[in-house]
Amino acid sequence: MPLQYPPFAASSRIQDAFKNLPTMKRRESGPGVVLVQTALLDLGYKLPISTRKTGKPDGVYGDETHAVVIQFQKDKKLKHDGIAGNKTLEKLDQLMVAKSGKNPVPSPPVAPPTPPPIPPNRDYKIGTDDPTITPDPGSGVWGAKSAELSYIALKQLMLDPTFLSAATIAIGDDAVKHLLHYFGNSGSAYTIDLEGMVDEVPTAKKMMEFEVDQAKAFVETLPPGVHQITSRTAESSYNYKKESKNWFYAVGGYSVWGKGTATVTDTPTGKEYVLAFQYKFFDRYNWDKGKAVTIAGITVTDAFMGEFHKQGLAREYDEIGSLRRTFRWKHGGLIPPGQFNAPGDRS
Amino acid sequence: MGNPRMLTRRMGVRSILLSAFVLASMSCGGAEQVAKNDIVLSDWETVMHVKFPPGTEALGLMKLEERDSVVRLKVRMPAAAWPEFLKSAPINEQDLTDKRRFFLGPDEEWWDPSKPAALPTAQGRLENGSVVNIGVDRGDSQYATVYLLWHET
Repeated sequence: MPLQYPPFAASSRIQDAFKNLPTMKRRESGPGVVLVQTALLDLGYKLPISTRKTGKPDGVYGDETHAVVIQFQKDKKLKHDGIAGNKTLEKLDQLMVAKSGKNPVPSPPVAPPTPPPIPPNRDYKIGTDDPTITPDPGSGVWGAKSAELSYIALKQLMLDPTFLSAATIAIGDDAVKHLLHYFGNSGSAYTIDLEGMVDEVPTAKKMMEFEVDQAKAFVETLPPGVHQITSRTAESSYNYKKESKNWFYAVGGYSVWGKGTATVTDTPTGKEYVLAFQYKFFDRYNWDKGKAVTIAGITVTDAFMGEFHKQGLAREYDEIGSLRRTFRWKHGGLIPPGQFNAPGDRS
Repeated sequence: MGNPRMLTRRMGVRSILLSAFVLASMSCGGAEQVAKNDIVLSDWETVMHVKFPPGTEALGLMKLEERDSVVRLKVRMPAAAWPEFLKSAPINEQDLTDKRRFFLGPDEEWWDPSKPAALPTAQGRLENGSVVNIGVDRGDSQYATVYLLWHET
C-alpha cells in the first residue's frame, strides 16, 4: 500500500526509504529526515537536541533521532534498529494519517525548512559507495599451464635472500615486498604503504592534494549538517621511474578516489568545515604480455614474469590502500598545509 | 650439505642471474623515441580513442613499455579543429582544468607539459584499466598543441 500521509507521499526520499532503496539511518541529512523528525514530534516524541537551534527539526539523523526511532519502533513492536525503512515508515504513515483524520479541521502539514539544494558536482556526490574500477586484465588465467621445472627453479632463485637483498638495493624495498607477495601465490589483496608512496613520489603527493581539493570544493557547497561524501569516479595516476624507481616497480599506474564525512557548521563568522577524509587506492599487480627491456643482451620481459602466474607459481593480486586525514578550514580559506602531513609528522 | 662442486656451480648460476636482474633493473631505460617522420597518427587513434582532424602534425612520440606501459604523444592541429577533436575524445570538456596539468607527468626532452602558460587537462578512462590524459595549449591563435598521455594501471 502506498504512503498516504501527504508530506510523505510527496517526498522522493521518503518514498525511496519506504522501498528500502536505501533506508534512512544515522549520518543522513536532508529534507527527508526533517519529515521523519516532524512526524515523530507530532506523535509526541521529544527531539530537544535536533530542535535546539531554531525550534524546528534540523534534518540531521544523528544519535538523538536514531534513539527516538528505536523508541518508536519499540513502542510499536517493530524491529528496533533505529533505521527508518519500510515497516517504520509504514507505521509512521498510518499514525500520521490517523492523527490528521481526527482533527476536525485538518491542520496544514508543517512545511519543513528546505535546505538549499546541493548544486550538481562532477567530482563528488553525497553517498558512501566506492566508484567502479575496471582493472587491467593481466596475463591471463592463473595456473592455466602446468609448472615447468625451469620456472620452479627460477622462482627459487628469485626468492633467495641474496637475490632479494640485491633486488632491494636495485629496485627498492616496496617493489621487492610486492614482488614477494606475487610469489607468495595467494592472490590475496595486499595493503600497500600508501603513506610512503605519497611521501616519496611527487606526482602521488600532487594527486592526493588534488583529490582533497575536489572534496573541499564540494563540501563548501553543502548546507549545515553532517554529510557522507564520495567521489563520483576514480582517477588514475602514474609513478614515473624518474620520480621513484621503488614505486614505479611496486605499482606503476594506479587509481585513487576519496570519501569521508563532512560537517558543515554555521558560525557567527561564517561557515566552518571539518572533513574526516579517506584517500583510497587501487591497483592490480600483474604482468601482462608484450613488454620487454633488453640491456646488454639480457632481457627481462613482462611475459617472463606473467608466466609464473600462468603456471600457478605466482599469483596476480589487488593492491589496495587508504590513508586518513582530518581537514578543518573556514569558508573562503585554505586548508593549512600541515593538515596534509601524516599523523605524527610535524614537518 | 651438497656436493661442493655442485654448490659452486649453483652459486655461479645464481650470481649470473642476480647480476642480470640487478643490471637490468638498475640501468634499463625502456623508453622508445619514435622519429617524427615514422609516427603514423592513425595507429594511435585506436589506442587513445581519438580521431585526429586533417592537418594534425605529430611533434613527438615516446613509448615506455615496462611495468605499466606509457605512451606520450604531442601533436599540433589547426586551432579551429580543436572542437572537432574534442568531440571525438573520451574526455568531458567540463573536466578540462589546468589543475589536472600534472596528470601529464614530468617533462622529458620535447615532452614539456610544464611550459605552456595554460594547459587545461582532463582524463578519460578506457577499457582494460587504461586511461588517456589530454591537455591542450591554445596559446597560439593558429594552432592548438595537444598533449596525449596514455597509460595502463
